[in-house]
Amino acid sequence: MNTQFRKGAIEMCVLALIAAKDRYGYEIVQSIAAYTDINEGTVYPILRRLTMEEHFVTYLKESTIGPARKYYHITEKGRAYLAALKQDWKEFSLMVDEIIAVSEQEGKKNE
Amino acid sequence: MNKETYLKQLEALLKGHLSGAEVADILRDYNEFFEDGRKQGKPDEEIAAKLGSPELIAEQFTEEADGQGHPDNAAGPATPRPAEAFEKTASLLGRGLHSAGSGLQRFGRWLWKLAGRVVHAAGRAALWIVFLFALGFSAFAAILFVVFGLLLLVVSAATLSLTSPAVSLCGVFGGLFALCLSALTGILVFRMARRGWRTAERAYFIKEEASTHA
Repeated sequence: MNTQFRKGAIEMCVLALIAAKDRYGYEIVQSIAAYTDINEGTVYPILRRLTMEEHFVTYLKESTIGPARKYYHITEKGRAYLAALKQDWKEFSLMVDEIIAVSEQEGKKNE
Repeated sequence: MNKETYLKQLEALLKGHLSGAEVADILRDYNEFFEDGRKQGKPDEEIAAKLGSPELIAEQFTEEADGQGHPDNAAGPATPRPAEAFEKTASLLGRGLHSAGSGLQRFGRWLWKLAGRVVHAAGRAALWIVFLFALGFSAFAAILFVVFGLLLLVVSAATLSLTSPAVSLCGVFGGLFALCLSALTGILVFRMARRGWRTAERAYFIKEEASTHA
């Protein structure tokens, strides 16, 4: 799949996951990897950019074993951004579904 | 590839592209990831393979930092490095030159259009001048005919006793003829003027109205 397109979709998934509750990197990556085959390391650059753009704030939480975990918390700005992305996505996917359905019907008629 | 090698390679690839603090923060994140994977009982090799190559990851980070990943968010809070600043300046300069070039092109096109309009307007003005001249001349002729006809009638009437009836008759008929001619010319002038007015109205006033509506 087109990487740019994929990146945008992954960005929305990341926002949605963190909007539900505060999460740490490994958790976010595994949540997405459970559904699709991705290069797991590519989620961090997205997390980092969204944080720099103030869609998330982060805090460290000590772990019982191993290093502290960095948790991501969505901001109001992040929520608004996610809402806008979701709206765009719904409209876009509806349009694509419709065009595919209409084209398939047309194809059947011409057979 | 174990965690240590992976982090070393990533560090080497990021250095020079991002600030030291940023690199340290990124390495901290990947270290945490490896540790979380280890807690799940996964070997480093498996974790590293699923992460993707350090080259791929570094590329993503540098792309994001350069704002290429998301053109909408190009103005991130990242502080530009000297090389990046140079690239940005060069690209701005290029864009500036390009827009200057297209500006010149636009100016040329505008000048050409203006010249066309001037020629068009001059032609139209010349036509109008000829028309108005003809109109004026005709009107002048009509007035001249009226004056001439009336004068002839008056003179004929005044000199009725002095000249022969034939001459007076000729004068009266000549006067009447001149008056008829002036009437004809008058009608012509009136029709010409009306036509000219309508043309002018259509060409200038109505069009302007349409353009203000549009």
